[in-house]
Amino acid sequence: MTTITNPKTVRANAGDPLAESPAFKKPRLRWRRKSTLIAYAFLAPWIIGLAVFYLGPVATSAVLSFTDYNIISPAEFTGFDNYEKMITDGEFVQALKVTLYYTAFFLLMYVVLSLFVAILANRPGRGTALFRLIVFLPSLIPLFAAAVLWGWIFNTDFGLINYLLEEIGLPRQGFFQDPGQALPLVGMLTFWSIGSAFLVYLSGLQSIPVHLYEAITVDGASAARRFWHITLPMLSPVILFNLIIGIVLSFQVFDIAWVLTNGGPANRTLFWVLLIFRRAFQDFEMGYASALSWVLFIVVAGVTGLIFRTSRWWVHYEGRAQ
Amino acid sequence: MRLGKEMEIIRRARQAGMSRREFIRLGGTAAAAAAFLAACGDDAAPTTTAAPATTAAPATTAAPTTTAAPDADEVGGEITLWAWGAGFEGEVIQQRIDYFNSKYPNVQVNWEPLAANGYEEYPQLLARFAAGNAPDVMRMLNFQLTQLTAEGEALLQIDDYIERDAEELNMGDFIPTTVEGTLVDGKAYGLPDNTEPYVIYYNRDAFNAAGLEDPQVLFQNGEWNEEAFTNSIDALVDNGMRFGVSFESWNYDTFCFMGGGTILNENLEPTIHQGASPQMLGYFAKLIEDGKSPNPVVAGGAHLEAFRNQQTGMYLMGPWWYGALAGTLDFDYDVTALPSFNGVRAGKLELGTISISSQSKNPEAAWAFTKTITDTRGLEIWSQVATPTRRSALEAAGFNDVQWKKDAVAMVEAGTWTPFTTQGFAVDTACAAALDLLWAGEATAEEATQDAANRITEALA
Repeated sequence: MTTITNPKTVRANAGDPLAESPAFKKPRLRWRRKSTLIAYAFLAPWIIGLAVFYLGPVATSAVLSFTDYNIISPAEFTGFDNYEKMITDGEFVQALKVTLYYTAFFLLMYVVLSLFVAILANRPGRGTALFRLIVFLPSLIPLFAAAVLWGWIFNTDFGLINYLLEEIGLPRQGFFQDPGQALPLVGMLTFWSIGSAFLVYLSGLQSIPVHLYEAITVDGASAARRFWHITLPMLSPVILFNLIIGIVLSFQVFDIAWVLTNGGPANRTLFWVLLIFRRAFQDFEMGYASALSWVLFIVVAGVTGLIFRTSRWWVHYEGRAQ
Repeated sequence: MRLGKEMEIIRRARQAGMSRREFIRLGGTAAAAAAFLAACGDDAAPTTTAAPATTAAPATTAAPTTTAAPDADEVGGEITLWAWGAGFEGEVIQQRIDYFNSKYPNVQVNWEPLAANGYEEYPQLLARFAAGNAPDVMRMLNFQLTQLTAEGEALLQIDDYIERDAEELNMGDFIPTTVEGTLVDGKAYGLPDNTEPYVIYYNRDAFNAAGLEDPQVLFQNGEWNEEAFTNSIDALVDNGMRFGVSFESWNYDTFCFMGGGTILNENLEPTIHQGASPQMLGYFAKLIEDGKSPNPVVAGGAHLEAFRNQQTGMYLMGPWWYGALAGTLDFDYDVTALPSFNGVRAGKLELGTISISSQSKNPEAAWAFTKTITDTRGLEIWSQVATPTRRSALEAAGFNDVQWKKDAVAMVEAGTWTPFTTQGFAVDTACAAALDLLWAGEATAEEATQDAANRITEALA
């Protein structure tokens, strides 16, 4: 009769009567339970942190979104009032428009422009490394700090750009202080953030098998057809990734507007998250700010989910049937 | 003309970022004043005598437990102080604590210096109130006092203490406007600590070069008015200065007050589109349109650089930059009062108060601290970094011996404040959104102020 002394060193095969014997199962289960407990013990700090500092506030904000709460007074249940209020809140409607406009602009930069820059940076030749560095370097500088710099460069009265424009005989521009120019300019400056998308694209481009290009070139395909039939399909998972990240980033934009315009002029750069900040920490309408946050979450989750659902038609995963 | 009491509006700037910077200036850069404010004066603090017995019934649970102020030796225990102040400002706060302890040796003051400032850390203060762990004594801006009182009765109503210690307190010594800033519905929730009026900085060398009379002299002669102000701007620009005057859009209420205008009436109905307000805002917008002022839609303090670099001959701002500029400029500069418009000399005041938490477990010691650091000697110490709110402290600190400070004090007397209510920021952002179009030249003053009125109505609905 075999004596099981150490389950770590004995592995019973499936169907082995030994494995079914109580003498084997008990220590094995005990050991598994012990291992699991040890694993949870190691994970506990993270789990506790997640629960206390993340899930707790998230759940609390969900509850608060149905209340009138200003921090120092007890919360009062108000049902769906905060959600109904959004419909008539002119600033929310404005923030929604601004955020959607910015999202479109941002995605153009983050998903499309960075793809073409990556394709350029993927071409062999002298200076390629330097070009990659130049494109990626700005993303290492905090947007907050960069925004302060832009604020001065684009200052209407004392900025460098207007000085140069005047030098060449062109009229001065209002830039961030002009209600018509502020938002497009904020959108354009997001090129500063394309570094991470660019890097992902570049790695995606370099993982496309060269033989695919060789094959289609032998067939006489032009550069455009190579891009359309090889590059785009092979990159589609990366495009999906950048699209999702881009949507999340653009809906959450805050710092650039906070520093540069703080929502002005005339609320033309009032982003959704900036409105949440105003309501929460200036007006102390924590209930309403929570409701705004949850609607933002639902919108982002909805858009992301929609993109995932449509991805089956346009994303090509190598080695998997369409 | 006094505009303040009926004004149920905020005094804050167009943007939070601006406000933050503005606040930082109020706090951090108040130290700038130290270089030039005389801190001497050795007036003894008012003699502590037994205050008359309170006849009215206590209005709050934390009303004084005695009918006469206890002897200093009888007051003991610990109190926590919530106050910001770094560098020299922090040293001055410590001097005030030491002064208090010289009179009340049995009270231990635990000062918790804020990592940032009272504006940045205001949400944390609210959280402490929510947790029942509020500090005993707080250095507050007047909007915070109003908001904490209006939203949760978080502050101790101190009328009974004031009445009990009336003789010692000598409330009549405070500049009346600053006392108004501590009242909510006629009840006192703090004692005035400091006040900062808006003034005009001017480049004296540029004024001399343009053949202009010194604004301080004009002010003393009662001739510093709209005409003189406009003439100065024109002459400065004609003489090569890029801009005559610079100002920042978040001070829109100051512009309205300067000519006798208002933002809201006592019923919280917008009045910004009526009376002198459109005229005053239109005046300043015209300066931008004519290229005599830079675009004002900037962060708080941004145009200080324009003044520093001699891009602008005048700068409308609070007096807190005066000391910071000292020794950094290669031209002569000074400060004077705001010009009068429509025969009115008025402006905006920033107010600071010392308040006691309604959660204080040692209100008697907290009150002793509050009244001591705001007595003549306490405020005289404070005058090293701030404009004190007692006339006796102004006198003791020699404020009236220096011309620009004298002019600034005149603006304190002529100024008003705009308390922050729950809807304060909403009113402010509503006005900013509408007036931005005025500053950009895309709306007339009448259109912009009407739009502001509509937005205010919507915000307050």
